[in-house]
Amino acid sequence: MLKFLFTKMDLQKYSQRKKHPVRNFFAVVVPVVLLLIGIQYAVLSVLAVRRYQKNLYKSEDVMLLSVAQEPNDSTFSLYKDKTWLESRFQITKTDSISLSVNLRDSVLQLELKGVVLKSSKMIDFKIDELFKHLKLGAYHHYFGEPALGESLLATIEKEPLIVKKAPRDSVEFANQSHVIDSTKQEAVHWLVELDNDISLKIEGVDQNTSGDWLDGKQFWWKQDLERLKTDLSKTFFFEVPDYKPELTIILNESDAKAIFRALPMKPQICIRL
Amino acid sequence: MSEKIEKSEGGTLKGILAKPVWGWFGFVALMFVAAALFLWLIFTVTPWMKSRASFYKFTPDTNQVAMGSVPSDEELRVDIGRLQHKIDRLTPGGVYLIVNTTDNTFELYQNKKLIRNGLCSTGSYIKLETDGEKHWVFETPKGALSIKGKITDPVWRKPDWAFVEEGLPIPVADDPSRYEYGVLGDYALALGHGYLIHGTLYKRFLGQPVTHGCIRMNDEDLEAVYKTLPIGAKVFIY
Repeated sequence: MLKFLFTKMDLQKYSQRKKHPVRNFFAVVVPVVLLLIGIQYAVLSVLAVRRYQKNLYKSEDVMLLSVAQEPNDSTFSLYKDKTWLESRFQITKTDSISLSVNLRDSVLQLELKGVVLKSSKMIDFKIDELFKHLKLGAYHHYFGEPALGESLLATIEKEPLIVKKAPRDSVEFANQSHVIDSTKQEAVHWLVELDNDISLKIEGVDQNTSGDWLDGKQFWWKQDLERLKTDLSKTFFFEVPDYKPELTIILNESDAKAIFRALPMKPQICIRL
Repeated sequence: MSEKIEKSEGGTLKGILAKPVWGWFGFVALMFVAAALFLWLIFTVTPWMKSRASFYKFTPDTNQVAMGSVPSDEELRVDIGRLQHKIDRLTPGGVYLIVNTTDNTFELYQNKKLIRNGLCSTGSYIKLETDGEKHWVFETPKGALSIKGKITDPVWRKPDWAFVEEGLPIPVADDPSRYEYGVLGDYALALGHGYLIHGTLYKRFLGQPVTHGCIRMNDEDLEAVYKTLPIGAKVFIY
């Protein structure tokens, strides 16, 4: 009997030693909370799309240009051509360099007063699902007029200034280095936020981009993280996050760089889907 | 007896897992799995869900839309032709030059056709600072410029920065040391504000941004450009 009691006590001690109430609590709570936040984020993000669309079709200009009978594909295509030319013609009246994005022909053009300065073939592009289902009024809302770039972010500098101190005398000048490093490899990725809510992403790719691959990725991760922080903080409090349709274009790296450097800080951009 | 229990359980899988170290390992693993699941939900599931076409098939309330109609195909084609013609007319019909300052290349067009292209050198983007507040930025101006003048056997009148850059004292305005002969090639085309298209002695630097703002070309290209572009011809720099 006594032996049995001792054995029972030892077993109780053994089982007590195994228990970690705080650890067990976190082992259950943390995954559950993370899962709930994740699901909440996913659901509210999808709701954001729906709400955005609802508001889009309720906006005055979209309603004004909507038609009872949507045109067929060929008519819609002609309509897109017309609006694109109208936008381009509107831009010719300004003195600054603008960008024409023709997704039908996969061509990007730098233009100044109607003159095509540079034409670059896109390697690839990706458009948001929203753009694939636009009705005529909504299409005009986005692409009927030139959009204005409100902010420009990039992995490279707009003007690659090299600050050089003037030498005090000719001896100091002789000792200075006069070689300009033009072989510098840099990742070329840039992002323009347009005034019509579109985020235009340009990714430069080259055969030698493996070295700066991480720089490019880091740039986009940083943008994604910034956005995620804002969205998560909203969904955490059951608010619907902001939705911004995106357009991603993959270009030759040197073209991406030349176009970025040529554009003004607030470029005018016209897009043809 | 207790020794017996520990011994007998320590040998089995249950016994090994019952040890505290495995408990912590399991806890950390669980946290990792939870974090991975969370990130998967955020970065994979959500974008996937957002890209489902079904969410975008939206039918607006037809009672609220304007009852306008789309122009006919014929009307649209007429408009397209008219607009295209308007835009085409903006491109100079004669000759014009396009300079790419990022790649340091040029293209010469005649009757809207490319007739010559090649390497050139443009502004180095060097900002030269003195001890005082004075500074110069060696940048080629961008935009739509035009040929303001054409010069043969140009002489370079060195500006102040040319002396400051070499650590030399700045001479008076008409000092003979300001004039250098034969360094700008056989021809020069003035773009205004002191910027020129000219030749160079440093041909190995063509294709690189090394100038003080002027556009340098090799002798053959310069001659072709000089002979093709009249005064007033457009030069587009980007």
